[in-house]
This record gives sequence, structure tokens and C-alpha cells, in this order.
Amino acid sequence: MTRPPKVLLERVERRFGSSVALAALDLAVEEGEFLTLLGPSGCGKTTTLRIIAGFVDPTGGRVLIDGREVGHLPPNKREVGMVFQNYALFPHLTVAENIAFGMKQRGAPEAVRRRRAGELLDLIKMTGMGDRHPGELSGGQRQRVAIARAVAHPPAILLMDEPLGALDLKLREAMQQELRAIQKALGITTLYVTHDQTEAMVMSDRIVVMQGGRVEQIGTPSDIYMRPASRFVASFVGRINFVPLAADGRPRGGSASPLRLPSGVPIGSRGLTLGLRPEWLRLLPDGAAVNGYNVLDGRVTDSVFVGSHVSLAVDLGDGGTLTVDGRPEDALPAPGQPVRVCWEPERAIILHDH
Amino acid sequence: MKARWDIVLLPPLALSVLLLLASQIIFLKGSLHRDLGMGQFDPAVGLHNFIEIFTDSYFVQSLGLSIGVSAMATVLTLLIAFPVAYVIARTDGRLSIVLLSAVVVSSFITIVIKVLGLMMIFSSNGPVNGALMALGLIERPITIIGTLPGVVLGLMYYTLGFAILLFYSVIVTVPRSLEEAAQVHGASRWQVFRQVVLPLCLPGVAAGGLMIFNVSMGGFSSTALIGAGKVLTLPVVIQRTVLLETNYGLGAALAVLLLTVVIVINGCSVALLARARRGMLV
Repeated sequence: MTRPPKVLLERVERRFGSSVALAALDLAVEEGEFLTLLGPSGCGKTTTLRIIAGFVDPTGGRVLIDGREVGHLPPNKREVGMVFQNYALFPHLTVAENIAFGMKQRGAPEAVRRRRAGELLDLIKMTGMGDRHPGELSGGQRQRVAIARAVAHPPAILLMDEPLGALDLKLREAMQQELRAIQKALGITTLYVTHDQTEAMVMSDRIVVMQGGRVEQIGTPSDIYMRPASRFVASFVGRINFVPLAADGRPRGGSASPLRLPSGVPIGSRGLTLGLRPEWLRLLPDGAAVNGYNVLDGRVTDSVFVGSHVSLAVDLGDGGTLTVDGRPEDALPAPGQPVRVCWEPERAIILHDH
Repeated sequence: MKARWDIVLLPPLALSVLLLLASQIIFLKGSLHRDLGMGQFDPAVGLHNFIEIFTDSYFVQSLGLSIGVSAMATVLTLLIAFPVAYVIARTDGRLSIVLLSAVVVSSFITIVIKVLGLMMIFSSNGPVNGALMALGLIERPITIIGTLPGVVLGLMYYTLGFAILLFYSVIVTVPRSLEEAAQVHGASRWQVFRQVVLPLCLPGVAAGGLMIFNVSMGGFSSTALIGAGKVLTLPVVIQRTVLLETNYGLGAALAVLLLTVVIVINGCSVALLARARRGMLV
């Protein structure tokens, strides 16, 4: 027998007056899964989270947690844990009291609360700091306490609303690893909201890419990156070059010969655009011979040293520009030099224009 | 060198201190001389006036009545003002500004006019009595004139607007996300209020309570109008002693008593509060 999904949203929508914040969203979060809602601000990801928490009432559709409809329940009856962007720790309570807050509301005895707070303090590597107040903690410590508080009860599902947004880059990267480790250790179903695509890739089992209140694509990080379902997903997650194709397979507006497309794409399809990640492209000297590769000729216009790679801009002469990643240790062409850009035909994304 | 802007504050400070202290010194000095009638003072310094106050149950009862009425008005005002301020603070957008402006505007209306309005609302053929009689809850119209509840009502009317403004400014400092965090982690509406909102607002509530109490202790106009000579709080007794009995010495002594009692009560409250806060933070 298959278990029902931990959280199930059916045709959930939310309108504010005439504007649609969320349009008929269907979503299933599986038990133990780390699912991320990813999208630009205003895409509806936070609204989705707040609907599940019970802070926002949907104007249509159903919300089920553990197979039980929760639409009529106030937030405190939903068995949900939540981490807020600004931590929202109670400043008048100690760290241990903050962590045990949810258990206290539900009538857990003092001894149980103290033991559980101790366990969680060990888990978040803050052993012995239970008597401090939130005001005495660093940003990273506050974040960890907020997570401990959210999972203490323990809830059916953990919701996180851009929890790392207030931290600086170094700490954020460390916290991503730590958060993932805590989530794995507890095996708790997690719904995570972020606008940071790197964060979503690093942490998630699956990613839901959203835009304008709609789901663009649901998939694993590699699905999203290697096989984006739309132009929006392709450009929102990672960097990409778009090469629009004419019906005969030539780049539109150019004089190049027809390109070979990945297998399975019918020849002669109209309205196709080729998506090429910069790291899939290689540069060869002008006039170099290539076998089995697609080739476009152009001229380097810019070269930027990034560290892990060198980002080169190649003007194709027909108005199009490609961004190509070169390896810093290679002898790379200087701006002004003519080059050939080549790639394996299979390493390309086919996008259908709408 | 840094500009010393605080120098600008010195003249108004000096003036305030002068006016405040000068009047109190006059009272303090007057309270120590026996009044001989016709505006004459006995040059001998003594405590006759205070002895008279503490041996006459009339004055002691008046002091007790003042404290009782003020305490009652303070508690009731707190109970009404805090929820109202909470609702305004948590109302979104323009409505909140409209509600707050209504409170501010009504606070600027002189208490005499407000009390007259109160009297009309509670008059024998006013809306309150009309409604209560129509419902059959009372047989004869009730009156607030000359009654203790009426005087408490008058004092509440006097302080409510300021109390709401004060509590509003305290409540907006508590982020809404704290309430959401409490709610999502299992706290009912009441538990959120009891365990998060109230503790975080407590210093402000205590300060506001003291302010209401102090204003109530000195409240004269509304008490004189509604009390109608039947509810004799200390400020009313002082006015009568000075203006009707022209006993300046005794009046001054009563004023000194009122001031001393208020200062002592405030001092004790602040000390208690400081101890409570230390206890909370250690």
C-alpha cells in the first residue's frame, strides 16, 4: 500500500482582489523529502508556505497534511514547524525555553521539555548554551535555535521561509550543509522557500520552480539544470545561451550551416531554440577542423577572469552573442581574435517556443 | 569639536524646574504655618496642619478614596486601552491611521466637554438608560452624577485616549512574526497574548499604568463635575479647603500630602518593576 504524500495541495489558489498570487497549484511533498520552492520575488512561493502554515486562507482548493484536510484549522492545530527569515526568536525567553516553546503549549511536562531541549542543543552544536538569551547569540546561532524550536515538537512538516537570507555568504554556505545534515538526521519532511538557485540546487531532493503564481517545473536539481522545461527555468537556474533555430536547423538570422540536434528531435521542427550552458562550449582556433561537433564562428569581444573559470563573450556576427567558459590554465584567445565555438550535439537543451 | 546642541535645552529646563519647584516650595512653606483666617499666617513653623489632617478621618478617608478611585480607573483603563491599542496596531494600512487619528483628535477635546457628553449619554432619558429600561434590566433610570462609578468613569474618559496612544507605540515594537512563530508552534490566541505579547509589553504597560494612576490622582475637573460635591477625592477637598474655607495652610498641607503619596507610590512601583526585570533577565 502506498502512503499518502505528507503534504498535498490540490488546485490551491489565492487571489488578492483581482490579482492572482497563486493559480491552481497542485503539489505533493513526499515523506522525508526536502522540497524547495524556488522563484523570483512575487512568484507565490511564500504565499504557498503561508497557506500550508495557516496564516493565509486559500481562495480555492484543498490543503492536506498526512491525508487530513487542514483548511479549517488555525496554525496552532496544524502540527507544523516553521523557521522565519528574521528568526523570530522570543527575546524574553532563554534558548532552552525558545526550543521547548511548542512542547510547552501542548502540555509536555517540564522534565520531558528539558531533556528534548538538551538533545536538540547537542544536535545544533550549542551544548550548554540553553540558559542564554537570543540577544546574546550570533546570527548563525540564532538560526540554529530557530531550527531547533521548529523541529522540537516534532511537527509533521518543517517549513522554512528564506531562513538563510540574513546571513553573509560564507556563513550561509556553512549553514546550508548543516541544515541539510540536521534535516537528514531527523528525517523530517521539509518545505523550503528561497530565491537563491544555488541554495536550492545544493540542498534539495526536488525543486519546484515557480513564476507568476504558477509552477514552471518540478524535478530533481539535475532535471531542472539539464532538462529545463521552459525558457524561464533554463535562464533562472544557472547561466545559459539561447540560439533560436530556423526550420532547416540553421541559427536564425545567421549564415552558418545547419546544426545537428540532440537525438529524438524531429528534423524540420519549427519554433525551436537551442539552450547551451557556457561550460558545455569549447573554443578552437579560427579554421580548426572538427568532427561530429557543432560549430559556430565568431570573434571574442570580452574576457573576464572569474576564478574557477574565465568567462568569454563571443560575437557570432549575426547579432547573437555566446558566453563560453574557458579553463584559466588554457591559452585562451584575447578579445578581438576570431574563434570557433563548438559543442557535442547531445549536450544541448531543446526549448519549444510558445 | 562636536556641536553642543544640548545647551539649547538648558533655558527651557531651567524654566520648568523653576516653575515646578517654586510652586511646590510655596505649598511646602505654607503647609508649615497655621492659617489665622483672612489670608493671615501664623509666623511660627509647626506641623499643626498635618496633625489636623491625620487626626480627622474626613481627610484620611478622602486620601483613601482618591487612591481607591484612581486604582480602579487605572485597572479598568488598562483593560480597555490595551486591547483597543492592540487592534489598532495590528490593523493593516489606512484603517489603522484613521483609527489612531480618531483617538488623537478625541484626546485633544477638553475634559469638560467630554464629561458633558458623558452626562448626556447617561442622562435619565439618554441612550444608556433608554436601552436598559427597554430591555427591562432596570426600573428607574440610573445616574452617574454624584456616584463613585460615575467618577471612575469620568477619570477613565480622561485618560483613555492617552493610554491607547501609549500602548499603541509599545505594541508596534513587537514584531508580528513573533506572534506567528508562537501560533505556528502550538500557541492559541490566548497563549500568544499571555506568553509573548504581554511579557514583551510589560515595561510599557507598567509605565502606562503609572501614568494613568498619576493623572487620575490629580484629576479634578471630571471628578468635580460628575462627583457633584458628593464624591470628595483629595483634589476636590483641596479646592474646597482653599476656595470655600479659605484655609490656605490646611489646603497647602493637603497638596503636599497628595504629592508625597504619589511620589512614594511611583517610587515603590519603579523599584518593584526594576526588581522584576532583573529577575527576568538573570
